[in-house]
Amino acid sequence: MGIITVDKSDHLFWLGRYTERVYTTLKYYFQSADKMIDANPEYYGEFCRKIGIPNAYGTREKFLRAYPFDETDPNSIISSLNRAYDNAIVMRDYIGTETMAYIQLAIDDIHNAKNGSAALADLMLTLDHILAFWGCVNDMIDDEQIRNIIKLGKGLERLDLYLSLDLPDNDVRREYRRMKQFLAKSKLRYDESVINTVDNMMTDDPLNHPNLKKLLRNLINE
Amino acid sequence: MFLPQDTSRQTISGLSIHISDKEDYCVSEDNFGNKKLYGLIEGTHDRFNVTISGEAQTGLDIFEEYTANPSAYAFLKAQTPLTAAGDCIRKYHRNLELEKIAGDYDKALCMMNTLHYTFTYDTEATEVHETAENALALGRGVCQDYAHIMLSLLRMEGIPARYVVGMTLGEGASHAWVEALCNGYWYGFDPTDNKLVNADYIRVSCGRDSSDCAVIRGNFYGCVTQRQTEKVTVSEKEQEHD
Amino acid sequence: MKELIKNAETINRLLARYGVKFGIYKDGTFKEQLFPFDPIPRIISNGEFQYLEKGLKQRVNALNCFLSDIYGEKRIVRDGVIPEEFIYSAKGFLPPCDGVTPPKNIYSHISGIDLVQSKDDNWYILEDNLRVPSGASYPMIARELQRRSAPDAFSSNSVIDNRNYADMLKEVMDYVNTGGINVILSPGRYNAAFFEHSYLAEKTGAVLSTGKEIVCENDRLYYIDYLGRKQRVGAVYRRISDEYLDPMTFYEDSVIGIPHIFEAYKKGNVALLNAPGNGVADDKGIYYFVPKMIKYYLGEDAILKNAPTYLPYYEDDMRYVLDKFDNLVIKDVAEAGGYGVVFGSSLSKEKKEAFIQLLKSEPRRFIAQEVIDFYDLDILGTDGTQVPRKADLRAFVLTDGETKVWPSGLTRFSRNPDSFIVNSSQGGGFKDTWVLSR
Repeated sequence: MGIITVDKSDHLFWLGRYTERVYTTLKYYFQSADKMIDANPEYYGEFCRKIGIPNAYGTREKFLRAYPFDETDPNSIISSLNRAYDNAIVMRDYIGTETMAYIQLAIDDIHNAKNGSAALADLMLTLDHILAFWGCVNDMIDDEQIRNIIKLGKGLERLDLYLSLDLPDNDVRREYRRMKQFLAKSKLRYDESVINTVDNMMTDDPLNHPNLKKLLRNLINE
Repeated sequence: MFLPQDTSRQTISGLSIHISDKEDYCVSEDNFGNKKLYGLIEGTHDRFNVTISGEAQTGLDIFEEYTANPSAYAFLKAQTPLTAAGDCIRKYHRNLELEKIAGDYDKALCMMNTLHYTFTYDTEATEVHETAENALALGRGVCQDYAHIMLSLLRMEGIPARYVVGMTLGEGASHAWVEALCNGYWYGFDPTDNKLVNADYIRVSCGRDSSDCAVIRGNFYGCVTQRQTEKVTVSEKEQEHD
Repeated sequence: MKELIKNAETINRLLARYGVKFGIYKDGTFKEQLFPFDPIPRIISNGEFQYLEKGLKQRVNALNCFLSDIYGEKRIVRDGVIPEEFIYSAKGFLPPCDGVTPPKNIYSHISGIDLVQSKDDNWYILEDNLRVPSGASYPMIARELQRRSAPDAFSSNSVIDNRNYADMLKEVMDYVNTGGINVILSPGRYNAAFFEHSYLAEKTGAVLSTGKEIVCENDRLYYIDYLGRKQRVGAVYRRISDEYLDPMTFYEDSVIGIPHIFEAYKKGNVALLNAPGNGVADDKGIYYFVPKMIKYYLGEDAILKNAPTYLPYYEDDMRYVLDKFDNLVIKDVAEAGGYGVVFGSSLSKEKKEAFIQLLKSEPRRFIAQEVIDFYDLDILGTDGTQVPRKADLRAFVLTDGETKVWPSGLTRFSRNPDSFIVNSSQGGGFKDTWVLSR
């Protein structure tokens, strides 16, 4: 294909970001739901604080229902998945009908889970299809430029979420190294001073998660 | 943006064109014979200026153009959404009793004359995209409305007619009038001033109606409010004798 | 056939998986809907296809001659075959196109000709679509998926593969390309046919683009990548209508077009498929004159017949229309997509009177046609039985150096047993169309 316009690079980047957001928040949702069964029924407040969304849920039951399934809530998982779809559907000729189908399947899964009786277990299919989507990106998209932009979006989103969720420093450092590879390969324009500062901060022990997060949000100005 | 050009009645010389900071632009001719100047500015900018100046020698003849093949202009007999006749124009047309007048040229004169005295010049009454029918119903409007109504009447008579944008002597804005094809000759009629187009007029462009020959047309990407001003200055120059 | 019916559920699941949808605006919001698919194909024998092929080629060739004439010498008007008011007052006649010759002098590259078959087995042309006919992608992907879900149905029948549409389309784009890449220009994802735009881009290797990704500089078109590199564009298969194509020539407020693309086209620096201005030839009023065009330009009699049509513009026809009003279907020439169609018999007394008044005051605006007794096609009903429904066929005719007919087509059917309207926007579904190789 060879030619990716500014609009298209934007779609690819956000396709990466939103699929990652669905994947990692869904996994964290599973862990949190487990905690809320008996250990800490109020844990959803903590969940909202960490992930940086307003806690407008009120009860555990409402949270467990609304966070994955409420399409009117822009922070819900289904909303992120819809945004991923929005960015995928305009890129059919770049990523291919086969690859796109996995986003569609993930959406169908989440709707089925919403209407089914075992929501948590059914939601695992969404994870399966996001993984299949990424597999397809690796396997079926010839153009490495396209792959790199998607993966840059994915990497940056993951880093942002890991920092928000206070995951172990070593995981953060690993994801940062990965992200930097795709940043270079994607040839997207970015703020080099951010990378210089973050490079230095990555040697800190422990890492300053809030500052890193703030800095990295300015890496790519659109 | 349209550039004035040579016709039977006028010749244009010494055109100078300045477009903001831009050196290059394209020129093309459309099927009305208008010469169009256009281009693209990449990158952000907060203003856009075009200044065009030159000399026109006018009044060389009494018609704009002669055409041996009037059927080439058959499409100018068709009304456009802006000139389409409604009840109001149809009634006005009936009252003109044009069937009593023999030639197309004299019919056009009658339209111009009647319209001038029955329609009131008013810069507040009509909108930019007003239809001829609405303007006539209001009974008032600007040169564009006079021209659209007259076009509608001419076309009802099966006379090919076109809208003309140009300038007249003095300072102000651009002006509009009509041209009608009578016996192979295109004549200019100015119903606003009830005048046959003469040496005081410089012709810039023509089309089916005002939407074909807006003085300037363009668009941009961005979320800002736009302000547009237009200034036309025409002054007389002594004929040089050598 | 049994196998296809048995696997109806499977194929519907696959169609959903691949997002075979069309967009629709309901109450002001955009929704995507699956295009209902019926597993029982329309089958056209090889002999019948050869007949259709001959007739369709003839028709499209004449229509291309007509467009070239109208925007050129206008002989057909001068010779009195078509009255000039049917040309110059038609919304589709675009004066800016007058005198402009498109690359290789082809106006309608992709023509969608709608036909119906009557109970007595005759085919009739319903309408010509020479602007942006859509629908080829649906049978393409349906075939792909049906071969997967019911392979035996294909190994036991000799069905011509229709998945070559993308190659045919690419050949057309390459043929008129003036140097540069092929682009499919879409208004964007909120367009009813966006699935098709993106699917055809994927399958032809053309770049799917929106207007703002392309610029016109010095009368040439360029596609600009995110690193600022420019690539020349040589052919634009535009899926946006003429009015929106170029805000500098046509509708000024268009935000989906490309400013000055018309200048590049006029100077021969880019091919537009289909050419702007084609609306003058697929106007419902002009339809009446197509058999006369075939005679005039090709010196042949039309192979495929029009549905019997009357022009209230002519006094004789008006008298007939008023006389036989209840037996006729009246169509507003300015409308499309199944809108503006009135069956004389369906009107109440008051409505009928009001309509006749309108007809008398604007005769040029309407055509009247005999209601054709459709040959119904079976579809699979919700209870698993087969029920007959009205259906039409959109044949796709492609023109490059020669004119070719795609050996398939879009068969649309009405899901409502009492309706004649098959348009997807009005709830119709589609079938695959099989052309047999024997």
